[in-house]
Amino acid sequence: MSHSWIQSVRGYVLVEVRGRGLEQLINRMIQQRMYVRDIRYTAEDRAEMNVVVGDFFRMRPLLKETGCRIHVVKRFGLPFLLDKLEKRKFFVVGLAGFIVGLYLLTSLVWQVRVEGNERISTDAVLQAARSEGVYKLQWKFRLPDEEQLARKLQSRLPGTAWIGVEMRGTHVVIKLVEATVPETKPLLSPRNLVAAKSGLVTKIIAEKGRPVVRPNTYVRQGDVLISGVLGDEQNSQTVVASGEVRGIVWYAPKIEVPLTLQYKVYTGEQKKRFYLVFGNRALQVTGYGKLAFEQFEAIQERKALQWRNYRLPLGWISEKVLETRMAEQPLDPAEARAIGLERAKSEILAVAGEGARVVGEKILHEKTENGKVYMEVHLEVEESIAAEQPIVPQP
Amino acid sequence: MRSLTRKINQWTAKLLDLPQDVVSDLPRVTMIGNVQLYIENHRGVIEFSNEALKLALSKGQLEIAGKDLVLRAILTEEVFVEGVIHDIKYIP
Repeated sequence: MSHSWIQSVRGYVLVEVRGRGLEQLINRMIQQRMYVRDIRYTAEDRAEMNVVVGDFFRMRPLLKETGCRIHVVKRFGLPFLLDKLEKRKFFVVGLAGFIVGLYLLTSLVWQVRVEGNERISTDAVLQAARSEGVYKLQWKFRLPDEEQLARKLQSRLPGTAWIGVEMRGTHVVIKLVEATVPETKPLLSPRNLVAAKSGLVTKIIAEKGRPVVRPNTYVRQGDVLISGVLGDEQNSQTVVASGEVRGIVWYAPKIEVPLTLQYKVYTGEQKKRFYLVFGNRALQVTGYGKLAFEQFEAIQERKALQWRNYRLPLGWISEKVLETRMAEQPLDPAEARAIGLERAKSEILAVAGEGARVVGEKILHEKTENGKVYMEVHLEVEESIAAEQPIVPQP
Repeated sequence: MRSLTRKINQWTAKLLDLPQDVVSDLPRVTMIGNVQLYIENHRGVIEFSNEALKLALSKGQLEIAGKDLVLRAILTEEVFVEGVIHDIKYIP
């Protein structure tokens, strides 16, 4: 039994048959191997049936034989459709135009996308792709092979480790992996390392350049420590001197320390304030009134409502205002001296830079006057004394 | 001679457990509920209306009575009937 779609391709007709020899007609038709479907009895000596177009014409002699009359009710299938289309030429032209248009539109490149670039700008990649013939509204069949295109693009884009070109329908996706380039060192002009301060060299390590001084020699400010000029007078070359030079530098700060020590203490009086917080504004709720404290410190504790990871713009602040006063404590001169020395050391070390340490200290002069201790101290500090000095080429 | 052939055929069919319609020239009638009927090995249509269908068989006739009967498909040896079937009568 053939399928109905095959029949609709071949075309079939619904016919009405009238006559006495209906059964005989059916028998004759099946003897002739005609294909008849859906035989439906409609009235006395009348029936409807579906017949394939080819069989319809072969039925003619059988009709004569059996004395039946035939009448076409309806036509189905492709042959009749084509017949109809022949009459509607513009419709056919439109249909063909639509299919051709659809095909043409799908064979254009509608988008070029770049993925995976961080340092190289998308525009630069698109520019390179354009010069290789990949751009918007280019015909897809004019594009070169993907692999070849990727290779050409890579030669146009230095700084890429890999480029892949993928065509997804009307989109061209250029994927690239950028090469990791080592960081370029800043260009430096030839230089010497000279002494930033006068002092005694304790350690000199030249990474580049020629050390000029030895440890345990005194240098003055501006003396060359590591020279950036290599070679003798005939053949010389200038380099960027680098290295580490440490030396002992002398300091003689003058120190004043009062003989009383002042510090803040809480008196125990306190006042509480409470604020509600909405966003950036705080509204005071309790603790109004003038403060009776001359000196005070406020300690705030802020709480915000939170739900999971979201901080809500609502909260409160509880503030404690604590009264303070300055207390004084008399110091004996020895204590004052120790405090003064410590202060002087920390001030100098903060200025001297990293790795500095005090190697020797000596009080040169000391006097107590007007409730203060005046001192002059000598501090020996070991620190880095190298400074950079560019070499000016001699004309 | 002919009856002898038939006897041998029947004997072989029994021995090999073959269905009767294969050996003897009998129709095979398949019915799905009371809506579809499938008849193989018929010998033509004798009478057809939407309430009755009479088919010739190699021996005898088959009478089908029902309502809205439609010959969905008809081939030289097969008929496929659809409709509401009330009655099937085998006339030897």
